[in-house]
Amino acid sequence: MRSKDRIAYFYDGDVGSVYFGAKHPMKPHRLCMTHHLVLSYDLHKKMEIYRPHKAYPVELAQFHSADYVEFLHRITPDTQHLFLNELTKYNLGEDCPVFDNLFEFCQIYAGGTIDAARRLNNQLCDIAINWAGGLHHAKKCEASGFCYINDLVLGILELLKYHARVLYIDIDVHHGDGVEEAFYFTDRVMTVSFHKYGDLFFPGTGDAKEIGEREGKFYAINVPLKDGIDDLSFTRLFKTIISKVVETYQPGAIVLQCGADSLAGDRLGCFNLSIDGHSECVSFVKRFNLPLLVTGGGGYTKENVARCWTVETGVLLDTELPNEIPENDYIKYFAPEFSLKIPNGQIENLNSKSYLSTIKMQVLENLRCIQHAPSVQMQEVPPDFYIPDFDEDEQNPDERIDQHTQDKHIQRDDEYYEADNDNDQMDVS
Amino acid sequence: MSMAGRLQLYDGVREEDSGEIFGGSNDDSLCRFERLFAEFFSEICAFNCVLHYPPMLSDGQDVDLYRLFLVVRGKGGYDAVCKGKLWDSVGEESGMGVSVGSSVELVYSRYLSALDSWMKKVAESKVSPEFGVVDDRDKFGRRLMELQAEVEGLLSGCADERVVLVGEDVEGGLDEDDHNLDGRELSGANGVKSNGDEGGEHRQCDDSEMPDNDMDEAVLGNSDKGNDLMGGEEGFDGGKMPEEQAVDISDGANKSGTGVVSGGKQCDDSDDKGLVLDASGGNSDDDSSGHKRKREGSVWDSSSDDCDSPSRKRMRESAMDMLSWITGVAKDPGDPEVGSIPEKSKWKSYSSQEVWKQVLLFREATFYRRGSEASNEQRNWQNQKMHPCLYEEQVGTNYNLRDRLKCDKKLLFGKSASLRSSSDSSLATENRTPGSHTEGQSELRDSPDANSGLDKCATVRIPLGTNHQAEIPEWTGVTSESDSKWLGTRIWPQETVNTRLIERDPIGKGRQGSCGCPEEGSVECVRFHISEKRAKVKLELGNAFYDWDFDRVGEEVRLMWTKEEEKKFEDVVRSNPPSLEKYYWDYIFRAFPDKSRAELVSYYFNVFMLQRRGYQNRHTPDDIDSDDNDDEAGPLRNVFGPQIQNSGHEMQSSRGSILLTPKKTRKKGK
Repeated sequence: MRSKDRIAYFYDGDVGSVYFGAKHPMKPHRLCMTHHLVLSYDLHKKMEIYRPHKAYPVELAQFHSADYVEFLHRITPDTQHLFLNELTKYNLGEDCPVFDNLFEFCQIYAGGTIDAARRLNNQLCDIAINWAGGLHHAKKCEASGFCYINDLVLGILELLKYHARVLYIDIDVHHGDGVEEAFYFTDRVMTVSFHKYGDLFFPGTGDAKEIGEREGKFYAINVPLKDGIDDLSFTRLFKTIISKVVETYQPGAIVLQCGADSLAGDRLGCFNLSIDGHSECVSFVKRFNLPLLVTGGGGYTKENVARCWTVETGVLLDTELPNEIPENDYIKYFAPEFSLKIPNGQIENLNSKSYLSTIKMQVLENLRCIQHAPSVQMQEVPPDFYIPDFDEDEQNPDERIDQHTQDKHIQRDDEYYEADNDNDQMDVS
Repeated sequence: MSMAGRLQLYDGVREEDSGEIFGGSNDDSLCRFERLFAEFFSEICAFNCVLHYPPMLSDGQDVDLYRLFLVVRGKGGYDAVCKGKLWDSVGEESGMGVSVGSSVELVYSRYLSALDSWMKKVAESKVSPEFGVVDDRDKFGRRLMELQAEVEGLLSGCADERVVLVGEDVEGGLDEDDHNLDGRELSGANGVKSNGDEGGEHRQCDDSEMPDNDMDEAVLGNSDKGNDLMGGEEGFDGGKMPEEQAVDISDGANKSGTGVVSGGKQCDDSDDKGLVLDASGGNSDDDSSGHKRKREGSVWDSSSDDCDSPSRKRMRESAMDMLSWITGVAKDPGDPEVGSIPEKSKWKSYSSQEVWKQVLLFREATFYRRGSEASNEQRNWQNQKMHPCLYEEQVGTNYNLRDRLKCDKKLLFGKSASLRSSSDSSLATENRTPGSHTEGQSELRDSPDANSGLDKCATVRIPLGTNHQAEIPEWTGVTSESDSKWLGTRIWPQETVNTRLIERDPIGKGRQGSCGCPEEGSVECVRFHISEKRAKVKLELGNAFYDWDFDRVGEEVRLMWTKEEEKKFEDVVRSNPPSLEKYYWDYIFRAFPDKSRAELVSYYFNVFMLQRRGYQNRHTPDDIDSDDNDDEAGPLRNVFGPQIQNSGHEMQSSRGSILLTPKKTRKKGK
C-alpha cells in the first residue's frame, strides 16, 4: 500500500565521514548507518529522497548572529589556537570541538531542515524528514552540547512564513533549550520538551516553571522527568499533553525532534524507552495530519539510533518493519541479534505515578491559561486542519480524522487519565 | 550570594555604619542600610521569623527602622535602653510620638535586634572592637519570648493599648470597622465568611510548623470578635517564633486587595507563586518556603520603598494611594485612569513608587501568609469584575475571567499534595519530609537563590535578550515568500527510472530466515549476502548509489587501501591505546599524509571498526563494545589539530557540559 502522505527525506552522504574527534560521543556516522538501514528495508521506494542544499551563511544568520556564523565559517582545527578568546566566547572546545569540515557539516544539516520546511511550505510534501538535523542546543551566539547551528530554529522560522503558529515537540533526553530560548518571547511558536531534569543533567534548564515570557508566556512547556522513565508512562504523558496542546494551540505545522538518546541504553541518556515507545510518539504526532517536520537529534549508541530512526521512518511511511534486519553493509553493527529490538533498559524508574501526575496537572493548568485566551490571530487564521481544501489531492476524506472525531478521542483520553489521576491524589493526600 | 560574600559586604558597610553614627545619616547610607537589612533577613534569619513590611506601630504609624536603629545605638544599645527604660524617649527621638515605648521596643526587638546581634557576632569574629556600638544581644530570643508574653497580656487586657500587636487578629480587633469597611468596599463581599470550616481544615495540619496554621486560628478569632485570641496566641508559641505583624496598612483592604490582584495574576502567571497559595496548611516545607518568599517580597518592598521615600509620611501616603487605587479598580475596572500594568518581565525595573507595583508587593507579602484565608478571598473574587490590566497588558488578550477564576479555585481548593509539591520551587526535589520544621529551615538556608519576591528563578535560567531570542516577524496573515529555490536536489526517485530493474519484493522486507548457504552464518555466508544485497542496491539506485557515497561504505572502502596501508593503520592504533595521553589519531594523520582526514575516518568506521565488530560478534559475543574504544573514560580531547588547553576548562565551569552528566544508577551492573 502506498502511503497517502508524501514524504520528503533529506540525506547527504558527506555527513557520514564527519568526525567530532575520538572519544566524542557524537558520531555523525550514525546517519550513514541509519540511511543504510532505511534503504535496506526498501523504505526509499515509498518516499522522495533529496540532497539538501548547503545553507548559506546568510541563511544561518536568520537566527544566529552574523559574527558567530562568520567565525564558524572561518575556524579550522589548524587555526583554532589563534582564536582562543573567540573559542571561549562561542563555547567551542570540549563539547563542541572544531573539526574538519565543521562548517560544511553545519550547512548540510541546517540546509536539510530549511529545505524540509520549504518543501512543507510549498506543499510539496506532507512530512519531511531530516535525521541529520535536530541540533536543539545551539544558541544564537554560541555553540552548546554538540550543536553549532540550530537548524530547528531556522526551520521553524521558515515555517513561520506560512503558518501563524508552529508547534515544536522535543523528545530528546536533553532539554531543547536552544529552541525554547529562541522562541521564549513569542506565542507564534509553542515549544514542548520532554526531558530528564535534575541532578545537574545537561543543560540544566527545563524546569516546569519555565513557561515563556512576555507574549510567549505559557507558550513554552517543559515536562521534566527523572531517570528511567518507561514506555508506558512516557507515551501516556506524551499523548495526554500533546493532544491537549494541539487542541489548544491549533498549530499550522509541527516540528518534531526525535533525539534518540531517550532510548534505553544510550551512552548519555538515562531513560528506559524502547524503540516502540519512542516511535509511538512519532506515530501519535503524525496522526494529527498536520504538516510535519521530523528531525533527529541526540543519540549516542549509534546502532540504536539507526534502528530507532529507521523504525520511525517506517512509522511515518505507515510501514511496519520486520524485526530481522536485512543484509546491508553495516549489518555487523547490529549483532548479535541482527534485529530491531534493543535490550530493555536497566535504569530504575524514579518517576512515581504521583510525580508524573503532578507534572501533567501543572502543564495542563498552564495550558488552560491560554485555552480561554485566544489571541486575535487564533481566531483570524483557522488552523490548517480546518481548511477544507487541505490535501485536496489524493486524500480520501473518509480517512481523514475530522475535528469532531478527534475531539471525542481526546476527550476519552482525558477522562481516562483524569480518573486515573484521582486515584493518585487519593494515594498521596 | 554566598554567606562569605555577604560577610564581605557587611564588612564594608560596618565601617560606613560606624562612620554614620557620628556623621549623621544621608540617603545613601539609608539605602544601604535598608538593602543590607533586607538581605540580612532574606538569608540569615530567613527561617526564623516572618515579619511584615513596612514596620508600623499599632496606630498605623510607619517606623523608620534606620533611624530607630541609630537612636538605640546612640543610647548605648538595646540592653541599655531596656535597663534605663528609655524606650519612650527612643520613640520620641525616632519621631514616632510620645508614649509608644513598648511598641517601639517590640518593633526594635523584632526587626533590628537580630541584625544587631548578628553584626555583633561578625564584629567579634573579625576582632574589630571599634564596632562596639552593637550591644550584646545574646538574650534576644528570651527577651522576645518575654515580650510576647507581655503582648499577650496586653491583648487580653485592653484592645486599644498602643502596642505593636502580634497577629493581625488583634489588628482586626482594633480596626475592625475599618477592616470590614475596606473589605466590603473592595471586594464587594463580606471578608470573613465560613472561617470555621477553614480553621477546622487547617487544624489538621501539624501544629508545630507554621504560622499559617496559627494565622488561621487567628482569623477564626477575628470573626469571633476576639474571643479566641488567647488560644490563637498560644498557638504561636508552640512552634517557632510567632508570626507577627507590625501593624498592617488597613488590613482588610490589604487582604482583599491582594486577593483581587492575585486573582488576576495568579492565573495569568500560573507560576509557582500562584500555586504556593494552595500549599498553605499542609506541608511545612512548602509553607516555610512560601514564607520565605513572602518575607523576601516584603523585605524588598520595604527596602525599595524606603530608598525611594525615606520619610515615613511619604510612605504612609503611598499606602493610601495604593488603597485608593485598588478601590478605584474595584469600583470601575474599566476606568482608564487606573492605568495599566506592564508585563511581568518588566516589573522589576519599575520603582515601587508605582501604585500597581505596591499592590503587587503587598500581595506578594501577604500572599502566602493568607493562603489559609484564601477561600475567603476566593469567594470575594468570584463576584468581581477585574480590570484587564491586572491580568496582562497585551493588546488583544481578552482573557476569560470565568475560566481564570475557575483555575484559581482549583488552585485554592485543590489541596492535593501533588500540586503542592509541584508548586514548590524545586519541583525535581520532591519527597521532602513534611512536618519537620528544622528540615524546612535547612532547606531554606541551603537555597539562597536571591530572588526578589516578584521573580523566582530555576536553577538555570533561560537567558533573555536580543542575543538570545530569535527575531520573529509579526504574523500578518499573508504568507510571506518562502524561498522556493532551495528545496534540495532530488536524488530519489530518479527522473529516469528504469522500471525494469525495480525490485518486486514487498517493501520493507526483513532478512530471510534461511539462505541455503552450505554454512549458514559463516564469514563467507555473511560476506556473500552483503555483497549480493549490495549489488542489488547498486542496480536499483543507479546514480543515487554514488550520490550517497554508497561506493564508499562498508568494507568496500578497503578496496581503496593497499594491504600495507591497512597494516600500518592497525599498527598505529594498536601501539597507541586510547588510555595513553597521546591518542592514535594524531599518529594516524602523521602516518598517512597523503590521505585526507575524511578518508581516514571513513576507513575507520567502514572497515576498521566493522571488522573489529565482526570479530567481537564471533569471538566475544558477551563483550561487544559497539562504540569503539571511545568509551574509555577520560576527558574529551580535541583530537584534530593542536590542543587547546586553557579554553576548555573555563567553559566547562561556566556553561556546563553535556558530557558531565552524572553517572546514572543502574539496577544491575552492566
